Amino acid sequence: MHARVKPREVDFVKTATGPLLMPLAHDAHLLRPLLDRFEAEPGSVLASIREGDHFVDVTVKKVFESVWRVAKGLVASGVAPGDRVALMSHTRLEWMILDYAILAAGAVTVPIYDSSSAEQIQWIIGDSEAVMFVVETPAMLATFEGVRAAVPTCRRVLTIDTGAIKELERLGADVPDSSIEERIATLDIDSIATIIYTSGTTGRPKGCVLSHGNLRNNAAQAFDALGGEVRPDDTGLLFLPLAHALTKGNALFDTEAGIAIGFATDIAHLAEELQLHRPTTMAAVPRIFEKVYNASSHKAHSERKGPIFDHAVAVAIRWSRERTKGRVWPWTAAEHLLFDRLVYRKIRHAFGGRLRLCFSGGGPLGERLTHFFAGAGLHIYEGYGLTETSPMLTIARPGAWKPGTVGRPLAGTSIMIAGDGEILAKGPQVFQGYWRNDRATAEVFDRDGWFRTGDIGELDAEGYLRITGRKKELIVTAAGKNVAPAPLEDRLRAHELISQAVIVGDARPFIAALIAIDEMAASNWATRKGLAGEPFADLLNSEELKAAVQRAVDDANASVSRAESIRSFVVLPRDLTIESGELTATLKVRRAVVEKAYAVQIDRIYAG
Amino acid sequence: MHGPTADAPRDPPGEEARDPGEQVHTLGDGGRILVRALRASDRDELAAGYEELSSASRRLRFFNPPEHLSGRLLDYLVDVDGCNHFALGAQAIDEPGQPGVAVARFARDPHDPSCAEAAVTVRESHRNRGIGTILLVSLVDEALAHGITTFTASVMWENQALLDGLRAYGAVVVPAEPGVAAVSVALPRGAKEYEGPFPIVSCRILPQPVGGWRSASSRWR
Repeated sequence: MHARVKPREVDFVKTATGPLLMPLAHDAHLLRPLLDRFEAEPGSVLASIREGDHFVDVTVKKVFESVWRVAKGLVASGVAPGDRVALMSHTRLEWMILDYAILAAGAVTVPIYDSSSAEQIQWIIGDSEAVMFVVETPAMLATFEGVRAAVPTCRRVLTIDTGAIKELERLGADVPDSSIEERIATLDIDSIATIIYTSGTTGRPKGCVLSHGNLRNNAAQAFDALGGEVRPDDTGLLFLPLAHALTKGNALFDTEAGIAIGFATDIAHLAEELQLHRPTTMAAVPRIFEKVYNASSHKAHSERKGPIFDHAVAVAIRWSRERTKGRVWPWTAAEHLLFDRLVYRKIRHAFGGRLRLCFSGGGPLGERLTHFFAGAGLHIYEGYGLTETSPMLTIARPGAWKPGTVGRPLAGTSIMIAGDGEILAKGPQVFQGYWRNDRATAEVFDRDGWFRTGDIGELDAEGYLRITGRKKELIVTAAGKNVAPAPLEDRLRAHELISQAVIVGDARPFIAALIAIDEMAASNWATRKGLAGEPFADLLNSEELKAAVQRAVDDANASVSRAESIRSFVVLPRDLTIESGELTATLKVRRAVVEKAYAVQIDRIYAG
Repeated sequence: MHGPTADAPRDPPGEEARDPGEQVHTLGDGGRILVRALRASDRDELAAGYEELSSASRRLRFFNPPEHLSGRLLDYLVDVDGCNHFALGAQAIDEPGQPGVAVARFARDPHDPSCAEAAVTVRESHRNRGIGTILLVSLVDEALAHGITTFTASVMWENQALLDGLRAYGAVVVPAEPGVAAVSVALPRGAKEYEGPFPIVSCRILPQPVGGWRSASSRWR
């Protein structure tokens, strides 16, 4: 019981503030960097896309002209300034063109994850009252058709794979340039640029309203922290969903900093495309780094080089730790040098061999892994923020890197730790509020205008932020997906057989469920199924029961996207009890105790 | 159904279970409630009350609330020994059928007998009338009489109103697992002489109770 250690509340607050930030001009909207680059250097490389076995460059001019034509098509389709246009696609150049075109038409982009469920699509389009929906594939279109009748505001649906871009360009052929110029002239930093839906702990996703100023400020803040590191020939590889604020922020930063953006075709081809593209900079979620580590470890062990690899890992971590403290011992340095050729070079090669600026966000990257990669020659700079903060609040950077922390506040950003440990933030990147949800907005701002992050943390004497807990009942997977367990658990428990469900997956690759069966209900169910008289333990292991539970899981999954869905479950041998500490004396479920009690089963889920 | 034997309080070794008796409190709005120890015969009403609670209320109370209170859980909730696990119920005696409207309980920490975990539930239709506060005051009295000096509670951070209220009582609130705060409150020793912020504070959170409040607060002054 936590009562045994008498808790002590910290009753003082601490703040840390980043350097000063130049205020943006009033008309510094998101199209400004693109317009400026089009005028100054139309032939420079903005992006690259895969064709066959290599990446080919796409110039600023080509992208800009396409944006312009598509924007005209949107105007011709009746998209008015301030209208919302939903966009559901995986990350590709067309996403970027459509996003810029929507902004150029004076409208607002509402991104939807490519794996979202029909229920989520219906909610997001209905809540945002999007007038147009652009989907990537015919399959996505088919998913939408099932709920289309429920969202009458959406007048038009286009599919990228069947020529949405061409169709829009054709529609806009007769629209004069002046109409787009007029639309752009109405934009300023306070105009809404995007509404990104995030899951709350209960209920429906909420739309985070981000303005042009929010996003441009965040790009400027990132540039303040990292601009000095950027070289003219830098290239980035984009592979995470652009619907995620982290990826979107990454793309905007790259565009402003003049870093050419390579569009990976699919995350499944990432290993291959890292070799083809050889990025010098990238942003990823912890899962990507874990995968590279696990794959290297697995390969070494299968080639009977396991002990060498394990030793190299230990040396890398030791080397990085000693270096952080200020002194690398000669023996560590010697071993480090030896393993550099044997092991570390291969790790760097897995990322293409040229990676220099590497960022991680979306979830916590363990301190150990951070040290390992640093020892292997790859500094990973961790940042912290939320969709509501466009997304970055703090970032580690060369010369200000402390593993286990998420760095210091960005320029123009203040971080304060409240009395109860909650991280509060202020800055020009903090959003305006949730779309048409004043109540939720009021809940996240305190009396003095501080944004409550819902995360718990500490600031050290040098202003580095360390995340230590969470006030929100949310699970953050290693893939950086925030998942609210309560709605999933509610749906599982609605099944007659299930007495308790506990969702797990924090800092793990995916979501899984621990499910306790109601003994009484199971016995009734068994009678109906002709299994009467079977001992409870046998019923628990029966295929019939597993199939019944699987149906409950499938039903729960229908409400969420693939990234949030329950991929695996374990039927517990007994219900949760007070004796085991899984329930408190007043019958409250204690997730941490349940997870510890079934640690073996949980590990098995993620090992398989 | 369980027999009447479940009703009999079990005396723990070395300590006597005491009967807190029955008390009638008049609420600020003139309504009256009867506060008394929870009985095994309240089982069905407790089950029915749970069915009536909204899913949001269930979640704040149980975190991971079951669809229905199973027999096993109900047994646990009504089969209290009056000393290590004590529960009070409030009945609205002016309403037809004198329905139960709230339950408050504490369960002693087996590792630290001076600590107990407390919880209160009030029916949604009877909230903001001061019933929860009246129950808590009686619960504190009972706890002190049983040598309990600290109440602990797990409270969802979303339950901001409750946390604010508890903080005003001097509660220490620290983060526990995601979504949950661990709260501990040192109970006022010698409650009769206590002159802390409690009565003022509860007036701030809850509408001013008149009649019933006097009987509760008089013991604190």
